[in-house]
Amino acid sequence: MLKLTRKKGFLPALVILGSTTILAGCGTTSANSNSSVSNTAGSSAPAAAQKLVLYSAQGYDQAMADAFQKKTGIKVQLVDDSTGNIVAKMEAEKSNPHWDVAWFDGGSTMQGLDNEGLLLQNWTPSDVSNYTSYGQSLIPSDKAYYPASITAAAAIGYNTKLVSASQAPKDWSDLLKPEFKNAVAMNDPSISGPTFPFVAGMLQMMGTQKGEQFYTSLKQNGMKVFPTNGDTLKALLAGQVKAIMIQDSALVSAKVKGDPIQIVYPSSGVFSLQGAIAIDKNAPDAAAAKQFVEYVLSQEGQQVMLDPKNGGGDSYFNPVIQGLQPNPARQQSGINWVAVNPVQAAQNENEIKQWFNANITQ
Amino acid sequence: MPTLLSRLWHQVRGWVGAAPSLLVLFILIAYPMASLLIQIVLPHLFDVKMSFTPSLQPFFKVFTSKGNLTAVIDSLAIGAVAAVFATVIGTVTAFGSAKAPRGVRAVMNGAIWIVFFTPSYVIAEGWLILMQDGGILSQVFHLPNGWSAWFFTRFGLVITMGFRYFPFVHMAMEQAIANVGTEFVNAGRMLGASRAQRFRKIILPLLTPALLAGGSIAFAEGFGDFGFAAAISPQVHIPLISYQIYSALNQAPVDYPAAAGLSLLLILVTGGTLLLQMWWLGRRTYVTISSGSKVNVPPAGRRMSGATIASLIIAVVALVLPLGSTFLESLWNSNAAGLTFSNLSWQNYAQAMQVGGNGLQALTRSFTYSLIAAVITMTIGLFVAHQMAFRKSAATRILNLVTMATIAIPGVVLAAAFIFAWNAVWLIPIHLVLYGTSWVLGMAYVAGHLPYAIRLQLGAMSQLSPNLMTAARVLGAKNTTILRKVVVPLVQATTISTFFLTFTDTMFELPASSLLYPAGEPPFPVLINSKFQAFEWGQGAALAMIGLLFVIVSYAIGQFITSKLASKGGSKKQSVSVDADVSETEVLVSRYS
Repeated sequence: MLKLTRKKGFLPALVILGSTTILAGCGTTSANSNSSVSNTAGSSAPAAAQKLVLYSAQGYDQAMADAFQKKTGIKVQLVDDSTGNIVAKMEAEKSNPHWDVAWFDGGSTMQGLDNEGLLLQNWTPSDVSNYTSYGQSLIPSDKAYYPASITAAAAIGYNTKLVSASQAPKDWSDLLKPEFKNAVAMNDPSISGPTFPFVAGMLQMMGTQKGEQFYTSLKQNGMKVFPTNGDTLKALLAGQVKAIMIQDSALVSAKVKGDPIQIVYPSSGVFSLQGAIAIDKNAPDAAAAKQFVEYVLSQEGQQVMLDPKNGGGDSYFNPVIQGLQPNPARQQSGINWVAVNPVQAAQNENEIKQWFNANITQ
Repeated sequence: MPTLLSRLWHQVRGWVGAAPSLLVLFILIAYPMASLLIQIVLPHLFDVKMSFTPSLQPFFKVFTSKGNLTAVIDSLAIGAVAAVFATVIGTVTAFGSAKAPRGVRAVMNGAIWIVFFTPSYVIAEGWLILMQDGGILSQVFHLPNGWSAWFFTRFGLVITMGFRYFPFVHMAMEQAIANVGTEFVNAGRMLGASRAQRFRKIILPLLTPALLAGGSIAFAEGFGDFGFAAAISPQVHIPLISYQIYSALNQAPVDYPAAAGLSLLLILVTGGTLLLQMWWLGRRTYVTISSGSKVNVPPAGRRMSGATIASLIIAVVALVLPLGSTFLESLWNSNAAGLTFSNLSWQNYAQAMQVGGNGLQALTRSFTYSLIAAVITMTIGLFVAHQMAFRKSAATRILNLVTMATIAIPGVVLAAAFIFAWNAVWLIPIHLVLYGTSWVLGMAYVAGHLPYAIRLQLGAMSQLSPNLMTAARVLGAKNTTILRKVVVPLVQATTISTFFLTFTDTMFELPASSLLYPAGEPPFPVLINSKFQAFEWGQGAALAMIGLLFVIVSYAIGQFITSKLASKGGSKKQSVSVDADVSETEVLVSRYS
């Protein structure tokens, strides 16, 4: 009897002993890891050796980082991701930002970040005179971001195995014809970055009501909506649809690879999508950041961007810097460029996306 | 009074005992989740200028939206049907593999492992290439456009999800079937139960915890899925809750409070289903391993049973079809040229290897992350599961709910939560801003896999009788000794599974990798993804195949080492000694009482 009661008291004691051993074990390991963490943080904090943190969604970003580093000796630490992820990351860290330079396609998206006060305003690069007059016209009045390239937010690409040259569409409205019934596709603007300027541009050019009517008619003609450029391009190549409306650089790069694609720049207007570059308002490495933006706007930097070996599909852009020739694979003449007003587009972004989602995607 | 005191003592003991697990889960899961969820009421907490101005607007926006309601219902239905389907398939393969001849079993388990650790985006992509208009099947059989319309629907979605998630059920069941042993079945046979009766009334009920452990993961995965739905049913546009979250993240400005509110919705629903499951399990005991029972490695069958053949078919559908398609794609020169020999070459591999320095560096980087994350996840998972299984308290129950709910939350949101938590301004003065270092990525990897590790091991441990622990404790064994000498040998198959689960999955984990990697040091999955995003599908597929090969070889080496260790007598001796310990314990216990 006595033994038993003793045992009862012994058990909880054992439990506590056991758990404190575990606790102690955990305590030491976490203490260890903490100290080593603060060590690493401490060693990387003094930015004596010049460096630059670049967040980018451009295909040529790695090549540009390497070239810049070679030229200046400034170490470029690159985070390369899709525009959506880059923006999500910037927004999540906005109270304590880690980036110096952000670079992706989409003036209105950049404008949105500017509206939140995340970007360095009123700074002029020393080589701003390099811009073509069209390039100049795209610089926002608060000088918070700079255009580094131009592509079309959407052009029409058709599968030459399925559509003959005589049947080829010439303008957006041709896709409403019966021969394109159930045979047209585009991307979802809520998921695909370059698709929003395409939708916003159409609403700007045709007027909201007629623009919405255009997309509604497309839907009635059996248009399919895929998540991103890649899915839509695949549907075209596989013959699931005959024509698609996606970013033109993606179309050019597929065509160059030998895929059976012809590209049409619709006569009524093509919406320009700028590759926008901006500096963090509280950039930890502001001087290096400014140097990098100036390098991007220089002819030397642009040559690196224009080489498809460096940037893949993204290299097929139209330069906005004087004295440069775009890749010859790009059609140049006869494109009716329409600039999408980024301030307006950023203002109406959520409204437009919600409308599209409710009426076209679903 | 004494009863009140002792009850209080009991409660305090529960919390103190759970403290280490609580601390770990707090750092890895609770604190990041809290940093995200608090934005529902304090939407400006992480703004450029921190503000504590509360607002209930995000909350009302999320919970009063009719769109969100239908999305939740749709997601629930998809998750539930996919989970049921996965559970059925996983049960068949688990029994099929248990009854299979040794060689077949090894092949089948290997195949199921590969399905398990192949990244979802590769599998979804594979199904797409296989089934779409102009895809592989339509080229081989000359099918007209639209032939596969039936596949790109809800129906096809739950089927593909079932084939994706069944390995969770399979792995949870594998150990459980081994642990059921023969004595209950023999007892049933002696009492005249038919084969079907024995299966339905004895075996299956005893396997309920494992079944639910695997099934609940499949449910949570399906409920929070985005990738599969986006790939398989872009045309149907089933308004899933994950889609709502993604569009909140794609808004400008990104609407984190809305994403947080929707995540809360996900947590509530998964938590609710889990409570239901706990209630169901709490009604009876599933202990099959008490002091007398022995661990049985199921005897290898000599002939192929029906279940084995069915399992082989499942393995083929789940593995060979989608992966084979991806492999074909990696050999394609052009997507448009289709299936001709002239269109196939190793060119993409040559190019992928040419990424050279970068590719190799990224692979080594991910290998290191994977190995470390796997060891830590396995160990913590074991401790925490042990705590939850044998020290039931309010604290452990909350832990259980929180960890489980994190499975349903999309990886991107979880990764963003890590940014908020470990980049917060209040960490600056104490030098604990871990975001931007490899620490935070490592922590996210562990946090992301811990729920699976805990869940699967909990399933296995629910079969162990608490008497075993009590007996060992009476004999003076410390907690760690009990865990090492009693628990681990009895659940080791599951424990090893959790190691490989974390290891292989980390090699391909995308959302946390891409949002949290230290600038300039991309891990392997980020590299694969950048190829897919640049429409270099062939190269992306080639990189994925290289990564898979790497993982498969690591897995094979791991298996080889494990079996070598076992045959050297380590594991055999251990289980024998456990049996010996146990019988000794029995003798001692009976002497004392």
